[in-house]
Amino acid sequence: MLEEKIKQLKEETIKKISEVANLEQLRELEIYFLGRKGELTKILRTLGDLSIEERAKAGDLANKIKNELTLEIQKARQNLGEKTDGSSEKEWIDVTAVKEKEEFGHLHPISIVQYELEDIFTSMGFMVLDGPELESDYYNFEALNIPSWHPARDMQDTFYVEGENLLMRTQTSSMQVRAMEKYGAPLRVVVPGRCFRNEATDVRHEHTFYQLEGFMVGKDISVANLKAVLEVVAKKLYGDDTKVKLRPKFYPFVEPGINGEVTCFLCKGKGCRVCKNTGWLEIFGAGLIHPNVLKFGKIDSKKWSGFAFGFGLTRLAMLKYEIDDVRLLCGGDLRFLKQF
Amino acid sequence: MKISLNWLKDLVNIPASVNSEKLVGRLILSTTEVEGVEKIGEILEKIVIGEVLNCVKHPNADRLSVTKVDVGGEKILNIVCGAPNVAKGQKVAVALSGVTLPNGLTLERREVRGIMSEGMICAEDEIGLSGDHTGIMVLPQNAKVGNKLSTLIKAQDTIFEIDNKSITNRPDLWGHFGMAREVAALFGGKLKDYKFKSLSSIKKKEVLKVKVLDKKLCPRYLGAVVENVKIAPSPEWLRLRLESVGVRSINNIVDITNYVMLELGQPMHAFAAAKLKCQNSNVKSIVVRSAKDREKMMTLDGVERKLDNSMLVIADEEKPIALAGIMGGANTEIDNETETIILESANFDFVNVRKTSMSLGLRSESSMRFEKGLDPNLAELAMKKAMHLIAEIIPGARLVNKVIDIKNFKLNAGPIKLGIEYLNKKIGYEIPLPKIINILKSLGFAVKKTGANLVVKIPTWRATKDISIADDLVEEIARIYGYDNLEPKMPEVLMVPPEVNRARMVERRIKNILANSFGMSEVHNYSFADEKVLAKAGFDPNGHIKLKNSIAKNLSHLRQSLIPNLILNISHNQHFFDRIKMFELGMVFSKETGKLAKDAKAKEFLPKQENHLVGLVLDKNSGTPFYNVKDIIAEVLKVLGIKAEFVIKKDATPGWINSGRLLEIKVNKEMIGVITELNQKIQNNFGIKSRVGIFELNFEKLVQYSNENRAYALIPKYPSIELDLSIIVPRKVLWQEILDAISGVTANIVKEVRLFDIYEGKGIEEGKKSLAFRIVYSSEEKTLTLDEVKKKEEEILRKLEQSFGAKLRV
Repeated sequence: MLEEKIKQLKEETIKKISEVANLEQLRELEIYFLGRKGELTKILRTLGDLSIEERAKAGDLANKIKNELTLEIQKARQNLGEKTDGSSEKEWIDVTAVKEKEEFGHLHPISIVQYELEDIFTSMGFMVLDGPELESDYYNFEALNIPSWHPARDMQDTFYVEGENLLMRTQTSSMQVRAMEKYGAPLRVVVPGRCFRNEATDVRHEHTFYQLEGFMVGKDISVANLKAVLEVVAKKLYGDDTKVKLRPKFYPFVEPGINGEVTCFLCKGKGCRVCKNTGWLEIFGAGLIHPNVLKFGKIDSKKWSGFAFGFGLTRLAMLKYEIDDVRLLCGGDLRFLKQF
Repeated sequence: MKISLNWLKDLVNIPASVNSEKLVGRLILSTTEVEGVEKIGEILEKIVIGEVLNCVKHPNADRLSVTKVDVGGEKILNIVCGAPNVAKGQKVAVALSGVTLPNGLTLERREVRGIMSEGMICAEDEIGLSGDHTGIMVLPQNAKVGNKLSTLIKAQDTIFEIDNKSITNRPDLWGHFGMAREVAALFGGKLKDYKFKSLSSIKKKEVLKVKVLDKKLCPRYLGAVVENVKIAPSPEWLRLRLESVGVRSINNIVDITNYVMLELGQPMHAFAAAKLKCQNSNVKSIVVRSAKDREKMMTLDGVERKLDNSMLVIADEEKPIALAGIMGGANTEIDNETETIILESANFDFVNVRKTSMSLGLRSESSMRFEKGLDPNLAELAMKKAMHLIAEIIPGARLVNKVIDIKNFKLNAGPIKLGIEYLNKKIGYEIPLPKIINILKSLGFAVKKTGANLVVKIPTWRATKDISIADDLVEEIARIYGYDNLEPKMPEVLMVPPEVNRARMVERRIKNILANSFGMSEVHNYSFADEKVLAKAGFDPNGHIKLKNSIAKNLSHLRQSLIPNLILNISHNQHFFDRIKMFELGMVFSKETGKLAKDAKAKEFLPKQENHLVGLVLDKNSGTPFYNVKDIIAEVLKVLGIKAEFVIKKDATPGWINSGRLLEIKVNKEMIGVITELNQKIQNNFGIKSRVGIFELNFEKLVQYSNENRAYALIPKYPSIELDLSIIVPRKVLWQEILDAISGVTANIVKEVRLFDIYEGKGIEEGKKSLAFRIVYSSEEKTLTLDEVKKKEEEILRKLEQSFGAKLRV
């Protein structure tokens, strides 16, 4: 009975569609049959009186017919010359408007820079290690060839904790000897992580910052090797035309001790605000691992040699995003963090 | 440290082709960081010498004078001057209008209290010669009017600012002489002869006794009595030289000791002999000894220092008169009445100087140098230089008897055997042998080639600790050769994949889900916590590890939880956002002992340090952010392949937790975290206006339980049927109980039950709630008929009615 009605309606509609003369009439027809208060809907309203089974059956049929008719009307529209390339009036929307969007979250800028570097190094066979932030004097200083009397300790104001001889690590180099003890030679490691210096904070100084330490122990590892690896990293970070400049700098745990600068990525070496007009950015400390440190790591310095280097991740992130106040990084202000 | 180019040129021949720019460039590449280059004295080119022809009081101002000054021009200038010492007849330095002074002021003709002034008569500080502003400079009478001041005062110089940190390992570079030696090596220049004039001496009965009681801490002590010293201002060349490197001129004797230090790097000290307390007033006695516990002494800076027996002092028979190597005592300071001095040039143990200076919080130019480990031979050279300067500057001064010299040192001068192959392998580049030998020799090393080795003797000024092994020589050669000149070469190694850091994989995966699927932003907070904030957030500060020497009060404790700082973040950000979603992954510190050893002996262990993951959700329009964080955690656990249970917990919980809204997350019965909301008391403590949903997880446990294994589930072959149900149950019936009941009923055609609404309130009886949910039915064997599904639905409803008195909502 109901099925009959629906089928009848279908045939009637198709017939009328074939008789339509213009788009205006077609539109009226569409509303009459398929509209919200149209004939098909009227029929479906009566479904409530039926058994569940009948209801389902009729419902399915009605949907099927509705789809068929919609398609027929569309075809008829085309036949009547309606534009389908979107140039018709009714296709127009305000494309400059925006709808409320689902918000995305953001990784911390340090994480972004850290992961980028980790990926570069793992691609070269370095493993990524993590270490304790609350560290012993032994691993942070002693085993790095910095005995208690060493003036190099002045270079690093250290947070000590009450009671034991423990400190907040001042450098990720503290993982060198731990890694050597655990893995022996040969060895390729990077250690990204948080470091601490007991100093007052301002725009340029922060007691909490991030470093990435890297080191490699192998046969005949040389200064030339160090230079090559650092160049690759600099190029990955800042582009193929980046150059690396090495010069001596004293760190007790390396010999020779080296300081590295790379071509300023912003001005490409011409000199700008970021590089203070030198064309160079001081990016890393490095050198060949001191034989004493290898000894602390139980590695025979007659058989093996190695290089080590350290980047300031905080500094890299600040350069990359032109962040001029280091305190923003640990400040927890979402207006800042949502920019990355 | 400041280095003067003129001073360097006094000591070394710098090739004419090397300008200051080149010099700095090479120093940076091979020796030390140079933080700045400053040209001084350029202003002297612009200042003219004038003569004060007339000087009268300013009619309208007591302290001003009106002068007529001849500067050799056509016109006599009218200049108003404020200096108290200006007088008719003086030769003075005049800055004419148009001249810009070092302080940035550009002079112009202007009226001063109604009288036109056409220039300025300068004081020393105004043209950068010193800090002196007590009066105008009065030039010698033979100064020629109209000439530039630069013809009279040779103060034009280039000053290099050396970064002290970059030469902590080079005791030999802490003076101009050492720098000159380095420059000679870098440019192949030659050091000039270092000659001394000797001071005339007089023989008397013994006047000075020196006793060194601790020869380990004082390897060398030279003491000399010089009499007939007239304390006076230093001559201009000496004053200018000191001022050029930033040292204030004091008097001739102090200036001489400073000059020697700045030239040779050897600190010296002069005592006023008359002030030493001695039984026999004719024989002064100096004792180098350990301080007594609780002994006191006032140092030259006017501070009373409490000493202990680890510290070394210079004493007379009664009391300390200097802190060895650090600072002299006020009790023996030379003054204008001093006629006889005792000059000290000594060497002290660098460790002891450093320790004493640290424990007293007293660093000086002297201690800075001693703690680098100075060459004891330098003490002798310095004494000679000091005598030379006294002879030059103070006529009539005489050395009484001989210089006393007590020494007890042995330097490790090597030789070091340096394998040529070892060297080449370390550098990774073959530097020609003659070049290598040349570099070492230019730095003062003695080199002999024997077979495949170089036998290298260390010069005394590098032998205290700076150079002791072959690797130290590798550095010397590499740096002077220049790292620029090395060809980079990639290491050749076995191709081995690196061990995977699973924790990092999990970390990156979690952060990606949280940020990209749930819109949470990552925060980094300090590892420290403020005692007050801890208490406010419901934590007991006493359970935390405390910092011993924190610079700031708000950094007093090590965080044991990420929560307190994150609460602060919320209270800050709520002013700018209606919805806040943030997370932090970071290390927390416990007083328990962990598993990492403190040292190689592995008998003691570091406190436990674990990474925690905390997420917070605040939505001004949501009264139950609990469900948001629960949703997030369920997804995270699913992605990590962790089968976890959410368990209701009822007993006591940490202060910040809302115990009415709390689930524990358990894996294998182990608690790995919680899902909750911030309890409202803490919320109020921090003035947070909306509820905060929180999850806190032990990240280490997530790593431990995460599981990469997956097996895919069949894609259903047959269509499913979805039916919605809406039931009314008592308010405290748990959804979990409903789920359990449903799964108890069903065979295997219920695939999923999804809750989409919980409602209490209008239209629902008090103490009851309505639950609306959708059940998805499907079978793996066939297409289900509506009939089958309806039957199952009825069965479910019956079960819910039996168990909870559930009624269908109509």
